[in-house]
Amino acid sequence: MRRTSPYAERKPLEIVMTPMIDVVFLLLVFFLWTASFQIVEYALPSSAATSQAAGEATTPQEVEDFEQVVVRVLLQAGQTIYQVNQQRHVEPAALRQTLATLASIKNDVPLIIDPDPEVAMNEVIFVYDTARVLNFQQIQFAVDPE
Amino acid sequence: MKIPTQLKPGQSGFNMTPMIDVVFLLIIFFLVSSHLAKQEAQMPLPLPTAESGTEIVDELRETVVVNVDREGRLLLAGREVAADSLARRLGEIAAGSSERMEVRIRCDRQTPYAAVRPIMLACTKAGIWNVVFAVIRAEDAES
Repeated sequence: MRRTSPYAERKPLEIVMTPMIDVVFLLLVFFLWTASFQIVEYALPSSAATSQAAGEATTPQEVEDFEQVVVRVLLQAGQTIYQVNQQRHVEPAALRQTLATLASIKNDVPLIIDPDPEVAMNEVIFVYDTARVLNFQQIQFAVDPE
Repeated sequence: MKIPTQLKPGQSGFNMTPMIDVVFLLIIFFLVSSHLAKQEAQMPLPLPTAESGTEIVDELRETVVVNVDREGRLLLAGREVAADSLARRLGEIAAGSSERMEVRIRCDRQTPYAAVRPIMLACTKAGIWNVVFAVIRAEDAES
């Protein structure tokens, strides 16, 4: 007697492409969607000073004994000048160095940022960010009530 | 996986695969379209750069976004507002919301400080102390 093979009735293997294409499209759409094309934004918390910061800052103070640090950001002849208490800096690196020195002496004093109205926000944020990085405890913006 | 290609007589022909495919596509379509709708609310601005920015967490916090363009125009909810009416509107919003309300200032990096100062003053007057600046990382700004 001839035994029939169990594989004799099997049909030839067919490769159905449609579901694979469906799945590949789905994966493609999913990865395109999840890929972030937008720049991630971060938040920089701020606080506005209610004190008359600029007026108080005009009295010269010793570096060893300061009650507050006032950073004025001025725009003179198209150039940004950073004035820390009475010390003027042109280079951002010099400002950072001065603030680092002050922070190493005393970082719990209020640091008040008082920019000129025409100064670009990028400069203002730079000063604020530098002060935050240097771990100043109280950073405020001077806001004139008028 | 073996996919039946031919039905034997007497077998009911219910092929679920295309239906599942279509349903998945619809789900993804709606997810993508809602995601894009959310992004539209953000006005494209070259934001200032900062190192110490923290990640934005939406949580349950109510956030009011004020956009300031390069010319110093203030935009609240997509509409231009004057500085004095902004103070009034922020006051109204603050009165009807929780203490954890946040005002996020999104300004162009070339915007003069004079344009942003009224917003901060308006927030102070309205009793909103939670004011944050939207910033980006320096490396993202270069790319």
